[in-house]
Amino acid sequence: MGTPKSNAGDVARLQEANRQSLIRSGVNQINSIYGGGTYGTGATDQWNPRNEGSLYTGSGKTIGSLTLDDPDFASWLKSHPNVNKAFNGNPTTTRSGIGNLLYHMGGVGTPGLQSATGGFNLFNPFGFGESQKTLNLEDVRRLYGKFLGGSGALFTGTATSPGFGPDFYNKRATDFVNYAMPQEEQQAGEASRNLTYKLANQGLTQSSAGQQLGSSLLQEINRQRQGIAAGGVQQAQDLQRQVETQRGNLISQLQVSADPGSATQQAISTSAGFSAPSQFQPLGNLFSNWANTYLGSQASTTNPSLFPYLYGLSGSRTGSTGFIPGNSLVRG
Amino acid sequence: MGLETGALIALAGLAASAAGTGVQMYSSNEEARRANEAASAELTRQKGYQKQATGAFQKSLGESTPAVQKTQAGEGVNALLDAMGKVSAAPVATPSSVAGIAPSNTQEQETEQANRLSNATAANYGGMTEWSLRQWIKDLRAQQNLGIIQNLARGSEQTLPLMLGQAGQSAEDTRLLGTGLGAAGSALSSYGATMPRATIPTATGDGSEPSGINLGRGELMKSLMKPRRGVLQYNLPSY
Repeated sequence: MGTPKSNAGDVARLQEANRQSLIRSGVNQINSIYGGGTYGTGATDQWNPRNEGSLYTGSGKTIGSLTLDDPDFASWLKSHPNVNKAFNGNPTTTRSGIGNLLYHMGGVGTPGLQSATGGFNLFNPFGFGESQKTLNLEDVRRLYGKFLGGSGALFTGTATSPGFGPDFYNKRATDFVNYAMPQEEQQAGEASRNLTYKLANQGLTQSSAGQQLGSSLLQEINRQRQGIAAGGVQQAQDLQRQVETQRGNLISQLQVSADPGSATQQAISTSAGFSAPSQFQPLGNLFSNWANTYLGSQASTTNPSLFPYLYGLSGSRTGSTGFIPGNSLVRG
Repeated sequence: MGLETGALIALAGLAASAAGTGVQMYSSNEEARRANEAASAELTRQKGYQKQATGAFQKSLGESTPAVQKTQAGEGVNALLDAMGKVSAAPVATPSSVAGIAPSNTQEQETEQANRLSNATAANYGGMTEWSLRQWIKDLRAQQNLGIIQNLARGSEQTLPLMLGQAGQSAEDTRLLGTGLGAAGSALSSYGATMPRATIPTATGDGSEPSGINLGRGELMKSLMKPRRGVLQYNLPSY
């Protein structure tokens, strides 16, 4: 009897259950950081039951306060059948010291908590050093804390992330508008002044042509402001795409590493980058097309013969249909 | 007396052999039971993952309906219109402030109307990008969820061969016990059947004993058929 037997299946199941718990926990942490919420900081492997009130899970709860309402804790318990059975009132064998030694002489199992149905051991037929017990919530919490400590998923502090919600993205849009509008207003003012000078040079200030040019400038200003508003929205949407892509990358990495501590660090680091103040490119000359079309740009000052073409004036300076649709100029 | 001892040993051997066979059969059944349990548990887990995946997919599908599209695009349009309204309200946009021109009421109204139409058109187009973005995010998250579920399902599935291997070894002790019992039984049977002849009393041939059937060496059968008080006798025909 006592033939050495492999318990590779049990070990593999236990490891797989732990891996799945860590992945679930890590996903929740990443979502807490990116979506807003409390998370654990300062990973430690120093589990001590006496400190269960000051050691935290990845979701920022103390080990001592865990209940089965916590999805990570409940999921971990469910995926550890022996612990779950013992918690639900089915006695489980615990071994220590001589009990473990005799158990190993029997060639089966691993130390610690074992199933009560582990089989008969000829080396320890009377269960010396073994005891049958059930687990209460406190026992399960401590087993969970020990597991987290050994998995890089136990933390010494907490932090709260505002996350990336509508307010965050709206702020990015507003930042862009606040950045762009002064430039636009400055350029719009300049275009307005240029128009004033041109019209004054030609004595067209009080003309209907002048009014139509003023109207076209207003429409151009509105178009540029549309662009700024849409640009702000576009900036916010681009940022949202970057955030979601990064969140996806972190989750993909977590699935490979099953290391929530590392995932948390990366999530904190990357989220800080997104939260940094915005930097935008200069707008350039917003009114160049309008000026080229309606003011003849700088050419008007050097080549007055182009004025008739621009404003619909013929060489004879009689009224005619202008370049601007519906523009009929009458010399004042 | 010697014959009785040999018979008893042989009987014990037969019993041990039978018990060994029984134990071996039990161990085989035990192995099969545990293997079935492992496979069944894994199937249950896989069904759970499948259920989760179906839920994730259905949730994503539910967020792709025309009604959702209309809502999301509408929200995008409104957000863009709101943003355009705010920037348009900046001071330079007042018609009379441009180039010192005081346009006629008609022109002012036309300009405002043109701007309003232009804003609405741009917002309607821009609103579609909001819907597109939200659908992209929804799809991305659905893919992430399905990827995680697939990862967990695959990880769980990979433990099954090890669980089955362990189930195969689970009744090893019992099987060895059965093998041992069987071997011991065979040895005992052989020993009992080959006890030295000197210990077997010679038949008197007085007709009080039936003729034994000589199977092999014959001693075992003879000893078994020796009349004893209180023991039911079978009268076998003589040939």
